[in-house]
Amino acid sequence: MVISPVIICGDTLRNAEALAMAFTSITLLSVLISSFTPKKLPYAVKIIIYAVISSLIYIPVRMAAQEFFPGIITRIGIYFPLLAVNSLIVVQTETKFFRMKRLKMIPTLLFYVAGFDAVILITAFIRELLAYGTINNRMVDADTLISGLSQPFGGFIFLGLLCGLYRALRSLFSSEPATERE
Amino acid sequence: MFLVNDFIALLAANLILTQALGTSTIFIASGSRRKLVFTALVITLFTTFGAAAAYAVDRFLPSQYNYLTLLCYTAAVSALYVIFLVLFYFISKERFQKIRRYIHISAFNCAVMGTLFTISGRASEDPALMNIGSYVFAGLEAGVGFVLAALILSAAFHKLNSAKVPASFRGFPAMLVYLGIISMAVWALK
Repeated sequence: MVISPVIICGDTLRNAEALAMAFTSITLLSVLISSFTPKKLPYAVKIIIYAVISSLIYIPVRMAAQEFFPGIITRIGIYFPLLAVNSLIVVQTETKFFRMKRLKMIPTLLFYVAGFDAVILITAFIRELLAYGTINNRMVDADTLISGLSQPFGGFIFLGLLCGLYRALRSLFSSEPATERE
Repeated sequence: MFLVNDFIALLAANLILTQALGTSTIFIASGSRRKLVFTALVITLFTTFGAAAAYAVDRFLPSQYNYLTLLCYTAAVSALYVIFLVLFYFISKERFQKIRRYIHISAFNCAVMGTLFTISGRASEDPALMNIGSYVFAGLEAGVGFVLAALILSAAFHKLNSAKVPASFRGFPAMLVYLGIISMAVWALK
């Protein structure tokens, strides 16, 4: 789970694109490189190595993001470096990804990353439309604006509602009941 | 009145409720009230001592190398991580197996790193805050805020996970909406 950037910065599509690009590059590269860490090392040492690897990968990703998204990185602020300490890298690697064989791990990781990207892009699209009346900074003919959706509390509530809606839809189209915990 | 003002200031400065920092961690730890409160206390240790380390990084890292800030903060938190593991091992070898889980959860997350970056950002805007006392106090304040948010969440945890909540919204979505409502109340106080 990487919730805070989605809640705070996922209020415009431009922010979401920058975050999705950074999250995808940092997470994919960090987990793939970290997978070569010897498994026999103590847990704490491995976690430190994973965190250092992701912090190193963050440096060129930030430089690239400043080229592609000038101005946006400043707006995202502290939430940009926080992508490097996301739980997929420092928690899920040991509990999930590195227990799989590499050929199975790579597609699973790709789906996890694609899932995050889809969530932040969809959330940002709807929040930008309803909060500012724009799509990717272009004005649209929106009669009703809900400015609270651009605030952190709006992000919390909207993400919660979207998650509940997704679960309800999933239980409608599949035989399994809506789960209690993700 | 003084205490009420302080309480409101603490809520308004709360990093979870105002900046969503540490939301993932609080949900991971929300399995039980005990786990939640212990995690929050260990995070307070990390934010307080981490803030002192962040001061050293901000003070001595030349501004042209500021792209190395995350790496330096990671190194500082890694050192604290090892120190706390060793310290708790020698304090109580019997309880170490239980305690180390909280240290693992608390070390590398948005709550700790976000706090360090927030404190650093405030200090760069206001040079009067560029001293170790301000950094440590802000780190402690963020940790106490995290404990407060953990207590607020734990108060409603069982109800948000009960059968009375529709299955689709039970647990994670209900907790997000709940935090959103508390966050809205705090936002109105500011």
